Amino acid sequence: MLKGASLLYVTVISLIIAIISSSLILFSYYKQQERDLYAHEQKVCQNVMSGIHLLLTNESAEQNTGKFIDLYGAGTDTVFLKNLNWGIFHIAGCIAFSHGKEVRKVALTGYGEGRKDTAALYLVDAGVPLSLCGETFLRGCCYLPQTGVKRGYIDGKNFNGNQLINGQIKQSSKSIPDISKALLSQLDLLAGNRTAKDDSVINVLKDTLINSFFNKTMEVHFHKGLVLNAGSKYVGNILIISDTLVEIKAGCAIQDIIICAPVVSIDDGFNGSVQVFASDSLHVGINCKLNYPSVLGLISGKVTVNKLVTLTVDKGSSVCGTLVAYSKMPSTQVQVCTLISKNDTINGAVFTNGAIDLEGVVYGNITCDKLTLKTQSSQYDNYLMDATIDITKRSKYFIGSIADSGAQKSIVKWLE
Amino acid sequence: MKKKLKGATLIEAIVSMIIMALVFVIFVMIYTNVMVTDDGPGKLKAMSLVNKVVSETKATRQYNDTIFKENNLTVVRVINQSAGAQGVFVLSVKVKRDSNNVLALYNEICRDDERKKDL
Repeated sequence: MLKGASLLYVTVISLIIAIISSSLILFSYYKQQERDLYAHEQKVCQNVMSGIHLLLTNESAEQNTGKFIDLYGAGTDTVFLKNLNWGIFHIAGCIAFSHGKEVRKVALTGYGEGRKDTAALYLVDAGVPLSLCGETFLRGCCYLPQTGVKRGYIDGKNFNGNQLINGQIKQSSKSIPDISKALLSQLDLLAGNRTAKDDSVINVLKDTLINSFFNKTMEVHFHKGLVLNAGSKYVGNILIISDTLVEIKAGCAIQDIIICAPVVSIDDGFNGSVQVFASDSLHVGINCKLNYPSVLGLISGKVTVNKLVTLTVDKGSSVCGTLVAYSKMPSTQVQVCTLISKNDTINGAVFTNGAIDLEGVVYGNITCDKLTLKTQSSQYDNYLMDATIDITKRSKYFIGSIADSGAQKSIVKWLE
Repeated sequence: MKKKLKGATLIEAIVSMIIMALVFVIFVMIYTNVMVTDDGPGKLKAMSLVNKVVSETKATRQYNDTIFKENNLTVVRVINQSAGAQGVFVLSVKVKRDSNNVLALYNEICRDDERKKDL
């Protein structure tokens, strides 16, 4: 038997049922919204990766300014692509949008070795054989002069190994392999012929500078010498140029930037990842650690007088990346010399059209005109003493080759 | 006074039942509509199937056109050359319930050398 005032009870119950029902409907609605959002996010992520893949294959992509493209011609997958030369590497940046969602990715890209049988040593054939002394160890395919390789004897040290070369020996040609022309002109620009009309130029160096690769390159240009002090921080799309000298102190936090000056000096104990380009002298101090992907470039421009340009890596330092010492001028006018000192470890590639004095360890490959060995009494051509070159210990994912090997562009690392 | 209250109970009961029935019918209508138009579980299933097919394609590098059925869903994988760009191709995977109803779609521009890499 229904009691009086049951309308009130039923209305309350109906209200509760209505609230529960509405909640269920709302739950379904939001679930659907969430799933649609997830689908859009997935689509935006796919589009941003598609954009990066396009930049990796398309050399002629818009430089510096960027452009919008429709990926599949349907008008629903628009991305913004930006390509930028960055030292020996490139910057590939992509922003994808959909339904208010935006995903941006920036990658540092470059070229690996195109061949599987990359030479551990490519020594130009100048008619002088390669001589090995002491604890020298060479592993990997070696391109040597026609006169071949022999045991040497200097300062009472004979060759102590069982095998001269642990790998295949091939004959080298009379010149080093070509550098890609685009890269060469880019290096030339960095070595001193750069115009700054497209960039944001500033003449005051703050202690901390951080700039996204989607912004314009921040160019810090000084006509006098410049010291990057300990405690300062420079990250991203920043180009530091001095017309005379740049000194990088240990304790200065540097990441992904480029530094250019006629003379660059990296102080003892520095630790960071940087691309440095000098035209007269580049010196890396004792016990420095240059992380992958670092680049030490000594690019000598046109000169009117004879001169010696040197790239020196002092004792106990390690460099993961690329060392390049290059001159367009003939060696009679400009002598390019690279010194890799004792206890140094280079993990990557060394490329020069000059001489290398190798006393340390190279896990990677060396391409050079000649090897020199200086003792207290004399200097020898194409001699190696207590040096190691081992290509097998370099990562197969190493990127940073500057030789024109025909390899595909790959991602070195993600930046932002 | 008591008698008046008792007389109202039947009307109350009828009104209450009508209200409850109305609320229930409205709820069922809206909920059915949401569920029918949404096809949530189907779409989720399709999205997960698309992701599975794409990762398998990339892992095995079987970049070829194919159509197959899985769990009552039709999977269509198509490889197209990207218009206006060299060295890349478009990997497109669609999951359909019937010929017109596309539940999930995946498009990605991939590099040609992905096809050539050694497994």
